[in-house]
Amino acid sequence: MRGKTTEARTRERIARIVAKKEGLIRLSLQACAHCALCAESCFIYRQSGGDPTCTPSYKAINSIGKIWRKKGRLSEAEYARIGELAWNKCVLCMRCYCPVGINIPSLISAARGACRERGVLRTYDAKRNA
Amino acid sequence: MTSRFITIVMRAAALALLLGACPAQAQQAAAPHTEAAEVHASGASIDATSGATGTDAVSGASAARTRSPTGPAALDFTGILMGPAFILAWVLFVLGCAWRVLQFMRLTRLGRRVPAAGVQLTAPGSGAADREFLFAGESWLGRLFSRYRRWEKGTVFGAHPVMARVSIVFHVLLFLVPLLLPAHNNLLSRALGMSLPSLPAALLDLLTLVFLLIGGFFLARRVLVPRVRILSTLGDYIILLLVVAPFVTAYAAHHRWLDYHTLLMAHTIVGEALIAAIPFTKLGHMPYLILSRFFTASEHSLKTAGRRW
Amino acid sequence: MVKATRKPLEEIFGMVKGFERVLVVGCGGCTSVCLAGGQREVLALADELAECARNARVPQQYACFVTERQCNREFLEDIEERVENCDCLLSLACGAGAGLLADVYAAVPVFPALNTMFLGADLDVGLYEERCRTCGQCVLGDTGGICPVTRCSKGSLNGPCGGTQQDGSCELGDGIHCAWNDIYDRLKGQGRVESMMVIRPPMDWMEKGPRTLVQRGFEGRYAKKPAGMPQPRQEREGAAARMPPGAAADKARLP
Repeated sequence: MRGKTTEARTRERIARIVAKKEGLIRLSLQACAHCALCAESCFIYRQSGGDPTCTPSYKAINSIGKIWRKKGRLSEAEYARIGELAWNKCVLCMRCYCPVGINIPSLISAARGACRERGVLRTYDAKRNA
Repeated sequence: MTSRFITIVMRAAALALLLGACPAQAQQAAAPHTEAAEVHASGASIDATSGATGTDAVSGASAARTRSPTGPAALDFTGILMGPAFILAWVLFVLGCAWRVLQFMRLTRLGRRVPAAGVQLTAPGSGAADREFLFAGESWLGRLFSRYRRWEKGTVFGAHPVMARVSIVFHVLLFLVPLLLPAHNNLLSRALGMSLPSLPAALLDLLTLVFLLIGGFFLARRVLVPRVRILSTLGDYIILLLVVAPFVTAYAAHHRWLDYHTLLMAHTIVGEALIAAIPFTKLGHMPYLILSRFFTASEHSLKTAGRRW
Repeated sequence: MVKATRKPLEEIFGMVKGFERVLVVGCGGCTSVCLAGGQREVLALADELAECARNARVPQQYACFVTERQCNREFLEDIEERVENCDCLLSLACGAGAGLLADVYAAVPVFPALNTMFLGADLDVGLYEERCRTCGQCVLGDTGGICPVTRCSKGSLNGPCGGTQQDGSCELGDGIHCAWNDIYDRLKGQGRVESMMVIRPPMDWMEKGPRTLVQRGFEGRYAKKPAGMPQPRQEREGAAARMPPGAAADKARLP
C-alpha cells in the first residue's frame, strides 16, 4: 500500500475486478451474436421507447467490454459515459434474456464495480425536483 | 493460458496436416479425384440430379485431370480441398467445440443446492388454481390452446414473434439441407459406404431459396433495425456472408450459372471455412447455446440445470 | 424498499475491535437507496473505525467493497478473494443480506453495522415511513391502499377501535393518525366506503418461524411437501379470507 499513488491503487483495484471475471467477459464478447433479442426483455429499453443504447448487450459491450479492452485506462469522460449505461440505464433487475445464455447482469455488475472505484456511482440524496 | 496453449496445439496440428498432405497428395488426391472422374465419365456429375450433367462436368473433370499432379512437388488444389483440408476443417471444428466445452466447465461451477429452511408459504398447486379460474368454461382442447398461447407470450416467441420463428427455420435448414443432399450423400457413401436419406432436388432447391431469403432478412434486419444496427460490426456481416456462401455457391453450381468446377471448389472452400470457423467466432453460439441454456441455472433454464457462472 | 440505519459507532467498534483485518461490505441495493450502507457510507464508516482503532491503539486494517446486493448469492461471490484476506466481515446490508453473507462465508464472523427497521416508502430524501409488515394477506384493495396492520397502532383489521380523536389522530398520541380515519376518508373520496364493511378473521400470526416463498411458475423446480410439515398457510385459510358485506352479520366469527 505504501509508496503507491491513489491513481495506481485505483487502477489496481479495477484490474482486480476485471481479472476476476476476465474469462466470462472475454467469452461473452466473443459469443454474443449481436442479435439484440435481449432488448425486449429489458423494461428500461421498453419504457425508453426503444432507445437502442438501452439494449442489454449494448450496455454490457460498451461498459465492461470497453473497460476490459482498454484495461481500465479510460478518461473521466469515458467513465462517465460508462456510468450512464451501467447506473442510469440498468437497475440490475437481472431479467435480461439472452438466447445464448450470456450472464449480462454479471457483466454490468463488474462495470459498476470499476465505476465505483473511479467515483462514478449513483447517488440517492439529490433532490430530483429541486 | 489454457486457451492459448490449445490454440497453439491446434495450429501446429493444422500445419502438420497440411505439410503431411503435400508429399502424399499425389496418391491421396488422385484417389477421390479418380472416383470423381469416374462419376463424371459415367455421365453423371457429383451433383447427380442436375439437368445439364454431361458436358461441362466431364470437361471440368478432364481439365482437372490435366491439372493433377505429375510429381510430388506440384500442388493439386482440388485434391487438397477434397481431402486434407476437409479433414482439417472437421478436426478444427471438433477440437474447437471440445475447447468450448472445457472453457464452459472452467468458467462455471456446480451451484450449491441450498434447501429452504422455513415453512413454505406458497401452495405448489397454485398454478392449477389460476388456470382453473382463467380458462373456466373452455373445452379441454380450448384449454390446451389457451395454455399454449399464454406460455408462448412469456417466451421469446411472444416477445419476438417473427425473428424467433424465422431463426428456428433458418437453423433447421442450415443443418437439414446439407445432411439430406444427394450430392453430399453421394460423397459420403463413397467415403464410408453408408449415407443418409436424400430429399428430392426440387424440394432442396426450394429450401435453399427459403434459406437465402431468410439470410436476406437477417441482413436487412441488421441494417435497418436500430437496436441491431448499433451492435453490428464488420465481423457480423462477414459471418453472415460466410454462412450463406455455401448455399449460394451450391445453388449456382447446381444450376450451372458459372463454370461448375470453379463453383464447386468455391463451395468447398467456404463450406470448410464455415465449419472450421464455428467454434472460434460468434458462431460458437452453436455449442454455447446448448451448454449454457441447458446446464446453467437461470430463470429460463430447465429445472435440473445446476451450474453457475 | 427495506429501510435500515447505522448502529452507534461505539457499538460497531465494540464488535470488530478484536479483529485485525476487517472487510467492510456495503450493499448497492436497499441500503444504498436509504443512504445507510452504500459506497459513501462504507468509506465513511471505514474511516471512522480506523480512527477509533488509532485512538484505542488497536492494530487494525479496514478494507472496503460494495456488492451489488447482499441478498443474492451470485453477487456475494464477487468478494471471495477479499474474504480470504480478512478476519471478519462488517456488513452494511439489511438483515437478509448480512445473514446470507454469513451463510455463504460461514467460516468468517459477520457483524451487522446496521439495524434493519422496516419496509417503507421514501417521503423525502432521508425521510422514510413504514408501509408494510409483510403479513402475506394484503388487504390494501379494501382499505384504499392504507394498511391497517402497519398504520393502525393496534393493528385493527376490521374498523376503528372507537378511540379516534376529533382531529383524526390516534388516541395513543405521538402524532399518529388514526389509520381507519384515513381509510374512511380515502374510500369516501373514491366512492367505495362499503369496502370498509368487508369483515375478515384476524390475521394469523401463529407461524413465527422463517418463511419460504416459491415464486409462481417455479413450483416444479423447488416445491415439495415433506411429510409431517405444516400445510402452507393459503391452503388452510382458503376461501375464508374474504366475505361479502351482506353476509358479515352471520358469517363474522372466529375460525
